Amino acid sequence: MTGALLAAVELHKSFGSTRALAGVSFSIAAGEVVAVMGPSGSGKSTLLHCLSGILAPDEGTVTYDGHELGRLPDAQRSLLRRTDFGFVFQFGQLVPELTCLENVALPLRLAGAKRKIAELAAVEWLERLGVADTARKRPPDTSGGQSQRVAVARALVTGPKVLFADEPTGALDSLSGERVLKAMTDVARASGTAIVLVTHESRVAAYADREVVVRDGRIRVSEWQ
Amino acid sequence: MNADMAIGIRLAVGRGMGSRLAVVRFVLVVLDIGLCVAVLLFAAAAIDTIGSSSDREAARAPVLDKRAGVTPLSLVNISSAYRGSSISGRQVRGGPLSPVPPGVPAIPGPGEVFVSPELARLLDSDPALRARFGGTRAGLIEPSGLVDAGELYFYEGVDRLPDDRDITTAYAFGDERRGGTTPAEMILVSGVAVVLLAPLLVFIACVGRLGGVERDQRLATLRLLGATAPQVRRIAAAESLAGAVAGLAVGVAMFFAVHRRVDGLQVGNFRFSAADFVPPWWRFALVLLIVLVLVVGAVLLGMRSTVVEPLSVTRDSGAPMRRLRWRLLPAASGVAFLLPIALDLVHENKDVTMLVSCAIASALVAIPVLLPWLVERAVAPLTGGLPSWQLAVRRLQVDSGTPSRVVGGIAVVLAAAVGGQTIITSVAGLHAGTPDLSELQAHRLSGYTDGLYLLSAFTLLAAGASLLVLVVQQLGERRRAVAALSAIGVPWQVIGRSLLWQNLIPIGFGVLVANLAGAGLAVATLHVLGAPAVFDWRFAGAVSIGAVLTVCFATVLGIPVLRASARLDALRSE
Amino acid sequence: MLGIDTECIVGVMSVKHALLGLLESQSRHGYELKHSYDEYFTQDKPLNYGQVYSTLARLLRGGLVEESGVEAGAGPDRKRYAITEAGVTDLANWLTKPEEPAVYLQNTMYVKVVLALLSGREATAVLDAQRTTHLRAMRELTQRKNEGDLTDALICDHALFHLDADLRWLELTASRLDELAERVRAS
Ligand SMILES: Nc1ncnc2c1ncn2[C@@H]1O[C@H](COP(=O)(O)OP(=O)(O)O)[C@@H](O)[C@H]1O
Ligand SMILES: [Mg+2]
Repeated sequence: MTGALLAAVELHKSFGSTRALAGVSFSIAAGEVVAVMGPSGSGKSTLLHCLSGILAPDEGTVTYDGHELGRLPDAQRSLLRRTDFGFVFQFGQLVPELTCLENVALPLRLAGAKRKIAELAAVEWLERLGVADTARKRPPDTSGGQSQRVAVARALVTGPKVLFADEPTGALDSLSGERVLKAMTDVARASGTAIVLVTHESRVAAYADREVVVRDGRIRVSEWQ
Repeated sequence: MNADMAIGIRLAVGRGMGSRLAVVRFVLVVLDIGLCVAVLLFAAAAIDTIGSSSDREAARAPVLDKRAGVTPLSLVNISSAYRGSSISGRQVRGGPLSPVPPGVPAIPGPGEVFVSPELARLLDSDPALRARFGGTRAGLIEPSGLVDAGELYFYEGVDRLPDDRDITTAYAFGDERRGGTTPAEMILVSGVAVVLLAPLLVFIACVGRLGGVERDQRLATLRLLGATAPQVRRIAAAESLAGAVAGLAVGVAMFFAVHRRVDGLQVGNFRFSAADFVPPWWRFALVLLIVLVLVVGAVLLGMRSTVVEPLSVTRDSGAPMRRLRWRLLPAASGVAFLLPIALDLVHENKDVTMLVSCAIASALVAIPVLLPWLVERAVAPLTGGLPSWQLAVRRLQVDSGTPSRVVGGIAVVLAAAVGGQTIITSVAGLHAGTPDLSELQAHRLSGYTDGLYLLSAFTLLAAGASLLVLVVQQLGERRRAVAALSAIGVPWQVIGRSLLWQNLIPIGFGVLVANLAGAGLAVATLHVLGAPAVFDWRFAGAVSIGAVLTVCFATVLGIPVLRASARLDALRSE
Repeated sequence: MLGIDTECIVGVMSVKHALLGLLESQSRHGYELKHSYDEYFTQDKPLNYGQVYSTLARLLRGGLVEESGVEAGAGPDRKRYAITEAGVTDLANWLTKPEEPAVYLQNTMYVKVVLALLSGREATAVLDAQRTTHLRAMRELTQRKNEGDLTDALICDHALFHLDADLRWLELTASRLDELAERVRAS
């Protein structure tokens, strides 16, 4: 598909005898929000990991912005993760030793930004996601919903082109989940960030522009709006 | 680069500011590294003390060769028992041109006596003893004239030397041939010191590597956020460095705190003096450097295969089986060191001692390196049994690294004890068979033995402390799992027993390997030295049981932490 | 615009209780009642005045509300209505009385799936088509919810959860069909 920011063609991936992906093709345009649905164990997370280049598929290619991820050296893929990609998982992605503010500032500091500047930007993002009051707390001392919004802030602080979210509200109650989703999609849409939103819940998928369904390692429905 | 260091240090500080249990663990680790560092510093100083006391002993040995223009000093060595220790000294008679022994300003005139400070103290407190020394006290012997500060020694000026004694005529003092530490002895001493210090290094490496699971998680997160592999290594190095530096600071503080208190402490025939216990600055720096390199190196080596992949944030894909190849290296080099001896290629006593020392050092390194591999293979086929046994076996199958590293250190102490004892007894036996061994050297050898026992005691203390730290750390890492077990109604006693099995299974292998290594080395050494192979099974048995008991004891000490973990609120934290 | 009917949230039977509920906190004029009702309970099609006044007349007759004063000026709009003791009791009884659970055993979707199975067609096609449509509706509801106020959110959530339930059933059925097909193939 032309105009795709990130595209995967015919991905295959097995873990031992378990076939996680059996020929999945997928593409997402800049600024688009796509839900990846399917029952658990269907291969959603594996697809997300392949798309973001943290897992190499056995077969098939993933192309981001004209670059084939499989051909990039590790340092370049690290650079992509630092500048163009953001990640939010179900839980446990924040560094418990650091305060929420420091967690959000971390990607900028890894990219070489001065501490002061990185933390100023971090404060702004915490405010945008409505969790400015967690700045001085450490992640274990915040609620699940707050942690996830801090994680979203950290994923977006570098202004990524693609946000990979794997069951971001899976561990939250409905209301906290709604807040996280709304904050995440609002902010991403405002800044033109595309989102790959992995979920098995249709109420979560309803936040996306369109959905694809993975079953047994294959994409069943791929429908353009 | 600097930013990476800053992040690493921030992570280390953050680790010390976490939950109460995390603080306890961090403090324990720092204290333990500190203890090991302090022992290493004492050892670095002790090498000097052993050297310097024998040097001072050599300095007052008489030179018998005639020299022109010198009136010889006639002297008789006197030695008598006093309440378990011995008072020794010399009766001397000389003229104005006679040589003056070290530590005294002049030759005592008839009726005059110079005494060591310690003897002076005894004389002042015991009138009966004073009656035996009739002379007037002309002054004190300075430290340069004494083997150690606690020595009971005197120089007594007399008119007439007793006829029934061997009279020595000294033309000078300081006999290089009879005195100074021989190279072979230095090698022997340093070899045995290595044997006893190696476990300390293993503990430092183990303890420095603690918290691996949490660190892996942390670093995987950094990778996910786009840190490159070298960047992650720098961050991890800086983080471990921060802990190591804290440990070093504590160690140096402990060293100086204890240093002031050891002055005058008596162990066997050996008496400490604070002045002796200051290692030269370069050796001091070397110890600190070795510890730093060891901690950082162990962390980086541990990361080599496991972490650095971002995926472990979301999924624990399990570590691959350990590979044997490079783990065989130390064991192979140990055999290689013994080969020339077995093939009868070397005959010089000195060379043999050195090779045997190297072989023992290699064998000791081989134990902690081989043990994780061995335990992993050994537990792989195990199944079933009681719930506690099953929990332990399955746990070891998933991760045998931490527990086998824990007991690897203990096994090293064990093998070191067996090997060290072999070396000392065999060398002592060798010297006993040598007719021209001077009284001086015999005395020195027994001094080494005392020193080595002392060092072993410290090493065992450090072993116990390290083991406790490791058990507590292990519990901390498994907090959630333990809480989950107790949530489904598993009594903590069962969890405790499974913990015990988890440590006992590896120590079982450790004991086996250590005894085999110790016995092998004993046989090799004794064969080489031509002495009959006498392996002290009772000693080995006692030390083995001691090692097992140490493991049990440390596990039991960890029970309060286990019970705290079993409280269900551990399930709640993220 | 939407494929589903969200206009009539409050059934005919409960307009009476809705008005009682609005009157409980304070007395109101008839036109105030209509506006409050529209704000909370309708989306696109407002309640007409006729229905408001006929319902109020019924409530007056039943002694559940009373006129609490007439302000200066003329016309029916000037009257204020207040709830009576009997009205409060009636409202309280209604609020705490559980509703009969609506069980849609003979839903069309169910019939389609069964027929697809019986005729040997691929049932997952039915399910996937339905999911696409359902999700389109849910997307619109979500958007409306996020742009609107609290009332919009409450209404849309209500609809979203019901649609979500449909899809969960579809998903579960899809899994069961897979299992069934596997068993057929195995035997
Ligand atoms: N690292 C792994 N090792 C072994 N099996 C794996 C691994 N990752 C995924 N799988 C298997 O691949 C399949 C797809 O997993 P996953 O992508 O996580 O599914 P989902 O995210 O849809 O629940 C599952 O059967 C899972 O067990
Ligand atoms: Mg998943």
